[in-house]
Amino acid sequence: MSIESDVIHRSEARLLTALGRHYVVLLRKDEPQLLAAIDAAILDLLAEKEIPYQEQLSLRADLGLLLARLQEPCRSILRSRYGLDGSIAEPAELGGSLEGSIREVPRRCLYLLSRYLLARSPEPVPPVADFAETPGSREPAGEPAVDPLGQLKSVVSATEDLRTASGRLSARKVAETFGLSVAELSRLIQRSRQAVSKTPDAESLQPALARFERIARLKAVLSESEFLRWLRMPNEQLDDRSPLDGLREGRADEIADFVEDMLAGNTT
Amino acid sequence: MTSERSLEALLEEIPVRRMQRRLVRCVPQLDFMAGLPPRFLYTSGRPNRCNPRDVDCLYFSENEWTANAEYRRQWRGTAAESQPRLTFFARAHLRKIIDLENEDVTAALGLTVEDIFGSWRLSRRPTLLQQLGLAISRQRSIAAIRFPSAALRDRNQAGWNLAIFPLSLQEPDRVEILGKSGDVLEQLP
Repeated sequence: MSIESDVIHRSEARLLTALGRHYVVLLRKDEPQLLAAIDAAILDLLAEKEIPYQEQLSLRADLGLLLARLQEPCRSILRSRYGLDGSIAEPAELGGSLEGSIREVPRRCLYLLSRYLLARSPEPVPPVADFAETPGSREPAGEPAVDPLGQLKSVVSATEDLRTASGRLSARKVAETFGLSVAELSRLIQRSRQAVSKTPDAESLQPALARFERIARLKAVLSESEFLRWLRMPNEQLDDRSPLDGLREGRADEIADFVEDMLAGNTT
Repeated sequence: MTSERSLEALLEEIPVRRMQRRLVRCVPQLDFMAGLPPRFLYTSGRPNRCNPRDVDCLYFSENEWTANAEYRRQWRGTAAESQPRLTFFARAHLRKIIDLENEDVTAALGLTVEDIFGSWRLSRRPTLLQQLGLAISRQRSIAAIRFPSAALRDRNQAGWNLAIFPLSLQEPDRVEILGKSGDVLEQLP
């Protein structure tokens, strides 16, 4: 990739401009190619030897800030991939093995990173909706693409009690927080009670439990008892159903979105 | 119902106007200012009244009265409804917005009262307002929809909100989050 380093001085602008160009060119092509190009652009920039050391540090710091907006495990996976947890020489080594290594990075992590980058690109880019409509590319609604609320200490600490020592969400703790039995929670996440009881913090349960964690963020504002009351209270914004009714109807994403609107102060 | 394609065509000829004013949003007292840097102008692509899923949109009210009513509606029935909250202000300079207070606009779009104030959270299909938001996000001329507050309508009062589409903002459009002394904390585009 050629970089006009005499024109673009700020490393973040350099990163965003390069990625914006790739995005516009590749938008109409298939998604794996787009994500591979974004990944390659980042690796190329990190590996570029002509960038002064100070600017290289600055570039890494900016990338670190961008990745901080992603949730785990994507944050750790991409930090590791781009060498932000190691020495400055490591990304250059990674850059050489792009063709094979792209398969090892979860597509979803790159997708989430690309959404955040493109929303901030200094160049006009087509709307994200176009990308989302590419066949097979629609983001599952469970986790936010970017999650500034998840960076707030008060929000993080409000849901710490849903996790085990391993850091994973526990179905047992989620059930307790929501005032449900493990059997009922198992039904809501469409798993067998036996499987959930056996390994309540199983990796395979994490995506489903993440929706409940987003809802439990409300405890950053409400007490435990108020949260339980809110869950069971008819709500005009849910057509007079309670949030728990919504969960029972399989609308966990919509209830989690509602909570995000409450915490972010969005209009109704 | 107006189709997506015809909405995009309608945007070419629909009446628009400028907007230059202060905007307001009320949020719970969380540690929003603790982030480095603080992030107010974030969008998650989550659906809301004027945008379907995966279309980024920022929501504000036109004054504190309306912002408070919106806040209270979100938290209705909980202690937070009447607890202290954080109010932050933005300044918007927008060349072209669609104003739903203009009857010519609502007539051209075929919007009914139900389309504007109706329930949308559990809707299985994008509402007409959300389809309008999608059409706006696909062009680079109109940057926002001014729409009436459902929270104030509940009280038989009137107030207005603004849905801003960040990816449709083009210089000299500008949205700025203001700090305590009026300094700019964050800015789009």
